[in-house]
Amino acid sequence: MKLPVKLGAMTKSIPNRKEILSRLAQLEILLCRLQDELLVCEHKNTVVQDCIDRADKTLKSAVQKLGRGDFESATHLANVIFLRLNFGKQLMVAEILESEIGESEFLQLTELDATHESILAASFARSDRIIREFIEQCKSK
Amino acid sequence: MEWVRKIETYFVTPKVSTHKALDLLVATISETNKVVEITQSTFKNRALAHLTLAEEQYDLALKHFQQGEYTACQRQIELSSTHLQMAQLLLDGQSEVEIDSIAAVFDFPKDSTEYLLNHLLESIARTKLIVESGNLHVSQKAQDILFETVKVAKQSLSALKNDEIEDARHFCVAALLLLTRVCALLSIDNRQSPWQVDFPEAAVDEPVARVRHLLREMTTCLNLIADAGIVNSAKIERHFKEAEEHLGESITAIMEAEFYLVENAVIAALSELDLVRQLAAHSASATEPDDRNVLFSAERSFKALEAESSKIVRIAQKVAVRDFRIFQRRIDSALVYFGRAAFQFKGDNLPEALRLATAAYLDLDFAWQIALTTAKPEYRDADF
Repeated sequence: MKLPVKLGAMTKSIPNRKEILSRLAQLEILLCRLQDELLVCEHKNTVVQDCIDRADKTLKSAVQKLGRGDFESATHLANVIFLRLNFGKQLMVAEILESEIGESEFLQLTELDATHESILAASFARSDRIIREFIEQCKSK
Repeated sequence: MEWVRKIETYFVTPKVSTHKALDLLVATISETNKVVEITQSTFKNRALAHLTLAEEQYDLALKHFQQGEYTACQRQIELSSTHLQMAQLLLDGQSEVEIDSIAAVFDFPKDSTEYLLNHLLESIARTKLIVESGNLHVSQKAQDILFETVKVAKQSLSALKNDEIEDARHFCVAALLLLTRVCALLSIDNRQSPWQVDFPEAAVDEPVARVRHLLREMTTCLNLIADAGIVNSAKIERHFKEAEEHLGESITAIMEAEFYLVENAVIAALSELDLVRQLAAHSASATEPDDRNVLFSAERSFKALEAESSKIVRIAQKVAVRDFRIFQRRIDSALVYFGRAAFQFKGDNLPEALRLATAAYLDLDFAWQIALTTAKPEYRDADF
């Protein structure tokens, strides 16, 4: 018999032990791959690293909960791990694109993410744009 | 015979059954150890970490067994075997696992907090992707609100992890509203609509609908004053800032589940926007549109470059940019040239304005090379 699990405002049946174990193993594999992708990425996005670190910590708790037979908590934590890894993965797509394009505009997601160099580069990019816009106006008037 | 086995099971004591489980566990640990030693799996280290934890749990189980604590021992065995199973699953190597395939497993119900949060996080990532791919201009204001959005999204995730579902939901909705504001600013700054933040139905209740209405009104109002070219009016700026503060109050009220405060904050903000509209209409009728645009462009551009220049010098000093004195002279010179260009622009001396602005650009590019490259700086041809 499957028991109800609180999932936000919804109730959903709890997966069995084998299913939860399989989910956690798949999440751990994704976590490893995301870490590998970040290692080779030119810009080490601190938000992605934070997603990985926190997902790793939550994964350890989830395995503990599963080992102690608390399937509901393990399922809930697996959901949280997925949310963190999915976010990290989506951000990596943008990071990889940014490395490929190599344009000057770079969207920082946290203040930690903003190194002095990146702030300087962004400020130069804005100045460049201001002058270009001005020149366009001179030409078009 | 089946009945003999049943009787045997019936008479098996906790000590015997626990002993059997321990034997089985130690055999499995040993077997997994052998596999880990020879495996070429990418996930070998992670499997090894689980194996180490399984061994630690086994040691604890053994201690409980020696002290006759069979229930506690069985709990440790269960935990140890969970780590072993994780190690084995990792070694089995499901390297083809992709986020898209696993997303089907985590198919959250549409009105769950998990669904909303996933939607929020994907929307933040999408915004980043659109800005990077379109090389969109990001103003300091949009950047600051985005920092706040990500901070609140992280609070939502932490609340969800701690099983504080309602708090997680409020944080999540607040972050979605903040992100809507970021996207509105991006669209105004870049004179194009990069994309609209989609609000899942489950996230829209009465207070949220009110704030969304306010956000739309603010965007319309900003477009109106930008089109009219009268942003540098102190009165308009003051009232718009007041409206922004009330918007902030309404979002904070949603975050803190004080929904009764939302209505008043939104009404106050809308009143400020009405004043902004009236002032804008008055300014628009006072001057010819073409003249206003001319004044606005030149002055606003100079002020913006002045602000960026002082920021550039401040940070360059912090990071100890090479040849700092030359660097600073080039930045100062760029600003002087640009100031003169703005003056000539206002006087309608466009060829001179163009020449001076180009000179400013060349100095800025020279400074850029000093700060952000290792090559010897040189005056390069402008690419416009």
